[in-house]
Amino acid sequence: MTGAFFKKSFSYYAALFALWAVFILVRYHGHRYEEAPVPSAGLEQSAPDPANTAVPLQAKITELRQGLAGVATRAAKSALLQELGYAYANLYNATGNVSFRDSAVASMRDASASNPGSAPLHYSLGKFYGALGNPAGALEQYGLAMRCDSTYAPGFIEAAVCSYISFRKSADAMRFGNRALRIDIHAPLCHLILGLIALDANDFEAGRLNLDQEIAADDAAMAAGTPALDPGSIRFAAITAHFRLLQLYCSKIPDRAKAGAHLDEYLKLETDPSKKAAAVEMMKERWGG
Amino acid sequence: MPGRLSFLTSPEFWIKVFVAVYMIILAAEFSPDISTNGDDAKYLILGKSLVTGHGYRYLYDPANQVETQYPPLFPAFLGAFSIFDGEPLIPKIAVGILSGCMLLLLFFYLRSAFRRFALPVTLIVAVSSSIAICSTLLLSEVPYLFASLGALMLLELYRRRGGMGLIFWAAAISAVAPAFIRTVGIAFAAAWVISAIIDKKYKQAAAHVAVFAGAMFLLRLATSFNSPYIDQLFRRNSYNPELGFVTFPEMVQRIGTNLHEYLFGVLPQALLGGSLSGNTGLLLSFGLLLLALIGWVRNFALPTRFLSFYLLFYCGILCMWQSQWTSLRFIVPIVPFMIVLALLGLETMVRFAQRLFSKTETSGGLRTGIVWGAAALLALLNGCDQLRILNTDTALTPDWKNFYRCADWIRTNTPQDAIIVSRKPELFYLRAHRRGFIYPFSNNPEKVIDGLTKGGAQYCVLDNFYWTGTTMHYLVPAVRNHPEMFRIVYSLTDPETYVLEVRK
Repeated sequence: MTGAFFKKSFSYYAALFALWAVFILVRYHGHRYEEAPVPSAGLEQSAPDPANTAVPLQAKITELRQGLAGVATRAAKSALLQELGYAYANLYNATGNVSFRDSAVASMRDASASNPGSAPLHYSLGKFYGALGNPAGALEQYGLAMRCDSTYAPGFIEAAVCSYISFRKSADAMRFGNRALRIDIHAPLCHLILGLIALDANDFEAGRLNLDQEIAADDAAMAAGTPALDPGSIRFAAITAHFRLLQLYCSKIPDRAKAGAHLDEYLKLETDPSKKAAAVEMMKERWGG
Repeated sequence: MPGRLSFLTSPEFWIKVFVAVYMIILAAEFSPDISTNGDDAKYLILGKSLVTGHGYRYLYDPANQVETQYPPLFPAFLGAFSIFDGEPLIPKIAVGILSGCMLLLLFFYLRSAFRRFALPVTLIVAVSSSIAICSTLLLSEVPYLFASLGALMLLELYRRRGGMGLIFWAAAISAVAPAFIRTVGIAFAAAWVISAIIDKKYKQAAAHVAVFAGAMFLLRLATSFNSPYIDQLFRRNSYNPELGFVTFPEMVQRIGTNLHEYLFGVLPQALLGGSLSGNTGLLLSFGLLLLALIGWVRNFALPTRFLSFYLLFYCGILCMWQSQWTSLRFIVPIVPFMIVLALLGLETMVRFAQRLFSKTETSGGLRTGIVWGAAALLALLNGCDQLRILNTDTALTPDWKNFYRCADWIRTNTPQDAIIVSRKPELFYLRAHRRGFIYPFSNNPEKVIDGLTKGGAQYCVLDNFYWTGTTMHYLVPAVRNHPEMFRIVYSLTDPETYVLEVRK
């Protein structure tokens, strides 16, 4: 009975499956797995395992909270609160639950209040606000970090970046950037901000000089292995510097060899294929080939 | 039914419609890429290894060890479709078509064994969101179900024809296939033997034991006699091997935990889809499971008792498995059988109620109507879930995006023979084309460093995965203890993710 049924309907199912396969092939023709910007997600993600961040983080938070009760010194309490803040922040990242974000901010604030003279604590809180999309709060904390310790370069660096990127306050950004460079001549990000401000003012030579110095500072910071600043920011600075120099050598200060060199470096660092393609196109348009 | 519309009463017409609907659903949910699950990448790589003459090994593994965990049939199937193209697209199409054939096989089998449930169950499976999810991935669950149904079809044929001819041996050989697709298929083999013995079909049981033992011996001879499954079954936690093995009370506790997870979470989703949540969903699910339990008990007295033994052994193994691996995937191969038993239970209850309240002969029409009503409800709930899945944004989370960006950077900036340490070396290999391995899961940073050195690691990926904390737990402390051994060569933010070069 099954055999007869199958014979009768064979052509239908063969055609149906063939049509399905052709549809999928046509729809995804030319799709290459390793060239996709990032693979589109399958419906099933990796299942959480027992070392899932949420579980150990919650245990860690409980442990830190218990530890707070027995702390003797203000510095130790502040350090524990800061750790608690990061644990909550990680828990927020893992779960997306905003109450953990609020707890993270509260813990970081408490950490600052416990140790009010600490520039690194204000700096951390500023970075925290920045990551949460609150640049005004971030800038306020960088200001407090600068006031607490006038030789603490990271506070000045981030204040320069925040002033320029978030508020377009070029004068403030220049002031903070130059101050950071006086503290640490190799401070990353400062030359980038100064270079971008110079380019905004059509001072291409000063822009070029600063961007070159930025790249040197970034290379040195990355080679050191343990840069004082967030490595992601340094990479962002290097990408931006190479791209702006590529633009500069393709237009205002034409130089094919230098443009090519910066394009090569840019392509090594940039991961967004559309941006990479745009940079290559810019080069081709200006210099051909 | 008027002559022109008589086709509407034909099961052949409806099965055509159901299979067509199923293929449309698969087309809508299809993705050409590998999921982040990891298992599908491993199957694909093993298949490529087989067809390229490298044996049954992970091509990404610098140690080049023979694979002993995954049975080879499914990777071999994928390998056959990877000959002309290294992309996962053709193997994924093959799995999609195989799942369409699975639906047809299900109908044929049920028509032989549970004729009155053939169409309702095929309808539910055709719109089942859990089956569709597994059919759009390179996972072995649906091929396993296909092989199980194929063996059951042959068993039904053998039951009708008898003898020791072609059908007898085809059934004996095909009954081995599930265990060579998924190791849990030993439940299928055990149920096959036991039900044959109860039916006094000793030759059938002996033939199966002989074929199974011979095939397993040959496989183990070609690979290894050490199976990691025994170790995994009794470990407290494979992600923290230093915790050791479970005691008897812990195993009992694990079975209780797994039962709770499956009854309250996985089974409601597998049977009803995820669209009906809360107490209504739980109540409906428990009602369904109660009916399945009634059907399961009743089925022991029917010629199809194999299914009851099979589900008993299969669920027994699932309940002993480590709790963190509780998954919808594992239930998929038995979803159609659970639905069959639930409908059998429903029919039993209706028949019982009819006998209780009516002195006259019971009506088959009412029972059929109730069975179809229940099937329509289940199909509707699963259909709603399919719509929910289609409208769900399945974009990768930022931790995964950064992981893949690191793979892209590694592919374009490191030598071809660079060895990379990462949390998911199989996915990294497919994306970055670089071999690699996973760091040792040890709380002793020195052991982790030793593992990296012995493995010849040249780069490490410090991921920031949300779904696991193993990198933070094992690799990061090792890196912090030996900062002089590492240099940041690439980094990303949101979340922070690094590629470290290992200094020689």
